[in-house]
Amino acid sequence: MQRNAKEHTDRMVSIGGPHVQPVLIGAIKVLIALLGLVALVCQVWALPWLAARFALEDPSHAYLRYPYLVVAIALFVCLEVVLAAMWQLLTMVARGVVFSTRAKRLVDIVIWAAVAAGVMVAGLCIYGVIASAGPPLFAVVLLISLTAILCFVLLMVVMRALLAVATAQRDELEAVI
Amino acid sequence: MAIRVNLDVMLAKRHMGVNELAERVGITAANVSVLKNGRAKAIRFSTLDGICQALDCQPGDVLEWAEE
Repeated sequence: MQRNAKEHTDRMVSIGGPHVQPVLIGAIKVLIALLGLVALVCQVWALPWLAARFALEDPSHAYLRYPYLVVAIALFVCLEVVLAAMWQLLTMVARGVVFSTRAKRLVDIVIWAAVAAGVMVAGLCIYGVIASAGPPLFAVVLLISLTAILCFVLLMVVMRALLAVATAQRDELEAVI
Repeated sequence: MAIRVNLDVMLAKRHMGVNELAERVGITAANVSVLKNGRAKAIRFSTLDGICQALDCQPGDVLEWAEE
């Protein structure tokens, strides 16, 4: 009787699936915190300084200094939104509650933030071509960023579908007594 | 659901309460209630095994198919 109950309960725990090492989650969170800090420093100090530098070196496009600065800061805000959502998702993974509606919403937020960033970068690319603003290196960097963002969005869409399937399967299994 | 789980009769025969059955089988008392009230959608064979052991009965004693 005791053996049977214990085996049964042990199986219950394993239904949650393979568990992620807390050390790994902690390490990723540290990385996220560091990235967030770097993003913040960029927004407050590095980007305005870069914008001023570009305005000095290319006076014909100095009028772009503040619009580009605003867009750049907005891009970093998108990054920070993604980082914040990832942090919350990691917390949910650690607690084992990641197969939920809230997690799906967080993934949606990540996807939309990435799409917004992609649209902004695309806009910068197009305007850069039209107004031929900035050095060619800038255009190359923008194109690479756009490709990276596109890949990220596609990857996150796949991940979202996986999460939906896993959640549905977990919910069905939960109903089994 | 055409499958009925008749725990009441066996529980009465063995003079066992819901909580005691839950503890012996290794499921929550809430799940025992779900079984009793006919709201269960699926059951594991290991759970059925535990129920039969705890109530000292056959699956046919607690499971019944009634055409609706």
